[in-house]
Order: sequence, then structure tokens, then C-alpha cells
Amino acid sequence: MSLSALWQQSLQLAATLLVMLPGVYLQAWLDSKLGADLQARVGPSRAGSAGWLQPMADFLRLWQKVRPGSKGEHGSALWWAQGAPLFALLAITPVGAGLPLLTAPMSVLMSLMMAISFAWIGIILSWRSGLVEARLASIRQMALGAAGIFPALLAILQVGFSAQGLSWQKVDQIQGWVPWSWFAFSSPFAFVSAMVFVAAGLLLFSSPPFHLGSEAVRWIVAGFPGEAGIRLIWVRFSQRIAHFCWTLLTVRLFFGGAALPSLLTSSADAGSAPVIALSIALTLLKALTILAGTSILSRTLPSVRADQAHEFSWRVLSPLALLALVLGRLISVGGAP
Amino acid sequence: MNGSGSGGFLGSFIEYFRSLFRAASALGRAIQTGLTYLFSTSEAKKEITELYPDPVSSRTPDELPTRSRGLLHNDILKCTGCYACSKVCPSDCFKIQTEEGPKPGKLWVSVFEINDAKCLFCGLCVEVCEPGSLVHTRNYEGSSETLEKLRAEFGRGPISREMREKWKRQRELQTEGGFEGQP
Repeated sequence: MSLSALWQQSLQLAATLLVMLPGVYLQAWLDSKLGADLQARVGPSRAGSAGWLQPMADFLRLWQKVRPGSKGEHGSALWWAQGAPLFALLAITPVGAGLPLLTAPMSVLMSLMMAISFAWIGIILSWRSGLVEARLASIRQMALGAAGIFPALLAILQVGFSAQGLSWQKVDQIQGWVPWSWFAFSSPFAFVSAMVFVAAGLLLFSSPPFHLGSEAVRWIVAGFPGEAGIRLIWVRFSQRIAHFCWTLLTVRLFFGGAALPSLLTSSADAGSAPVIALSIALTLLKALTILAGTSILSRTLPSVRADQAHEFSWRVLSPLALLALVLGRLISVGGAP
Repeated sequence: MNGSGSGGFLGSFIEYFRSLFRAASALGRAIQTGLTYLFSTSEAKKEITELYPDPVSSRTPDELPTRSRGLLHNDILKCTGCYACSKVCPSDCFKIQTEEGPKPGKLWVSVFEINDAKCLFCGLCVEVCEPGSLVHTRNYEGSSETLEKLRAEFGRGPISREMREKWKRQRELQTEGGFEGQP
């Protein structure tokens, strides 16, 4: 890769992050606000109007909470271990029309691989610390991730069979901009696969209602229980970004991606900045809608224990995904001329 | 169960999807209930919780709602040692010991301990307390560094052997003098 191409790639990555940050902030605020309203509680209301500055206030509060005299068990390893897979995931996350690796074969699976590497990074951190509690917490995190990977793979296969390939370009070709042309609404089996993929993302990134206990996260992050300041912020922040990336993958795979009306894409302005901005905005809007839905779901359900999460994955998600894949395939083969 | 033998694989397959459907519809109803709180503006759907009162900048215990349930207090002089509170408590947070007191029929409550770490603040004990000795205070600041400090003791203390003998004689005298059954 030439230097200019690398520079261009880095700029694109920075732009992606810049576009995603407000979305992630909005999602953090929506999550707490929706949760409070649903449960008839007074939600965030003190920091800014309707509490919109609350995520920032939480950030500052966590920053100040560091165990006196401790630098944690991981040192700079934590930053690299979380940062490197996040960087890779961001680099190939499909935001808007501009997308790296658009035509590369298996580019969908590459995104999945990056998400898995990010989700499993906890094990490296815990083994470095050598503490039993940290290792146990990481094994729980890895096991939850594993419970999400298998159904997610089955759901992706469903898309791959329909698109006859697993490149983003082929996935884009089977979907239009109107909801009834989205893959998720093409058949009941496709819809089941879409729901399975969303739930698998919650498992993979230990998001509510399948989240690990706070203490477990702190053992992984810092190697000791209790608050861990900036390290905890970094881990939670990177997890939110990674889950947001997963939701963007969901949008691209099942909910029409960044598809715009053909009037816009076939005109001379197809590659212009306003059209690209519109496609990005549409993708983000769809992602935020899905995240709001999962927020409502997770605030309605009680917190799910790790063993219940595994049971849900292996006894509900995986069989459903497998059944949707097989039946969907049988019907499409049977219906083919 | 009746259907377990007759259905076989197909039966369990159908039951699997039935249970999935039941779970999904229950979840749907739960979300529907929650959404009414999200979108309704009626008085009945407004927030029913209050922010934790900050005693320095906002509320004092006296300003709390009238039926607030704070830490429990027992007026031991009124307490009859009937164990009604202990029997009704769902979290087993009472430890009570009684002995016969100086007057016939009146118990001496030597130990009356409430474990605030176990208390649910359900208020059942206060409801059943006939003499009205057990009440919820307005004090809600119960945090402590150790669990031991969360044990509130209201008992009148153990009785010495001499006192026990003395009260026994008193009771006998009162009974002989026609005070039997009087408190």
C-alpha cells in the first residue's frame, strides 16, 4: 500500500469515527433516558436539559474514581489490546456509501472476524494479570462471546446464500431503499435471521440484558475489584463503539444498508458529498432505531444470568437460526425455476 | 404429563415452538406495558420514584412523605414481647428473647435485636404490632462499614440470678394477694 493510499485510508477512518461518535453518545443518552421513562423513574435530569449531558458527567465521574496508589495490572497493554481490534473493526465497518473492501470476497466475514477478536480480547488481559478472579471473569466473557458467534454465523450464511456471495457489494445488490425490499422483510426466515443477528450482537459484546456483572468487568479491566478510572472508561467506550459497529453491520446485512432512491444514485450527483452524507445519515438513523429497540427490550427484561444467556443462545437462538437457514434455503431452492 | 408419551419428537417440537411463542407474547405484553409509561402523559403514569434525598442540600427526614419507611425503632417500654413481628417477618431479621418479668403475665424483653441488613422495609411488623411499640422512623441513612453495626438493639438487657429470684418472690406475693392476671 502506497503512502498516499495509507493516508487516504487513515483519513477515511478518522471521518468514520467522527461520524460515529455523536451516534454513540446519543445512544448512551437514549439508553438511560428510555430506560428511566419505561420504568417510571426519574431519569437523567440534572446534567443539561433532559439530562443530555449525563454521559459526559458519567465520564468525568468515572475518570476521578481510581484506586489510590494503583496503576492497574495491565499498564499500556489494555490500550493496545482493546484499541487494535477496535481500529481494525472501524476500518472495515460499513458506514454510508463509501466502504473499504466493497468488492472483496468474504468482506462480510472479515467484519465478523474483527468483532470476534474485539470481543475475545479480555482473555489476553486476564491471563497477563494471573489473578484467578480476573481469569474467571474473562472466561465468562469469552463464553458469552462464543454463545453469540455461532448463531451470528448462521444468520450471515442465510444472507450469503441469498446474495450468492459474502462481499458487501453482493449483499447490497439484493436490497433496495424501501423497507419491503430489505432482506429482513423478504421472508419470515430472513426476519428470524435478522433478529438472531441482533441478539447475537448483545451476547458478543456483553451488552444488556446479557451483561457481565460490574465487578467481573472491573476484574478484567483493572485486575482488581472496584473502580478503575480511565481504564474502565476506555473499555466501556470501546465496547459501545464496537456494538455500534455491529449494529451498522446489521443495517447493512438486513435493513437495506445505505441504499438510497435510484433517482439519487443514478443521477450525475451520485458520488457528490450531499448524497454520501445522506446515505451515512440514513445508515446512522437505522442503527439508532435498532439500538433504541434493543434498549427498550433490555430495560423490559430483568438482567440475565450467564447460564441463562447460554441456555438462550444454544436452545433458542442457534436452533432458530439453523431452522431459518435450512427452511429458507429449501423454499428458495424449491421455488427456483 | 399426558402429551409426553403420545407426541414423541413431533410433540416436543410443537411444545418447543409453543413455549417460544408464549415467551415472545409475554415479552410483547411487557414491552407494551412499558411503552404506555414512555408515551403517556397522564398523572397515573408519571414517575413514582423520587431522587435519593440529599440531607445537606435538599430534604431533611421531616420533609419525607408521610408513609416513608425508614429504619425500625422499638419502644421497649411499650413492647409486650409477643413475637408477632418476628413471626410475620419475611426476612427473619428479628432476634427476640423474653423472660418472666416482675409482674405476673408481663414479659421482660431482654433481647430485641433488629438486623437492618436483612430488613426489607416491607412494614408488615409495624402493621401487626398491637401495642404500637414498633415504628418506622424517618431515618434512611443506614449505611455502615460493617454488618455488625447494622444490628439495632432495643432489649432491656439480661436479668441477673438475684433479680430473677427477687421477681419470682414478687410474683408469688402478688398472686397470693389477689393480683393474678393483672399486668
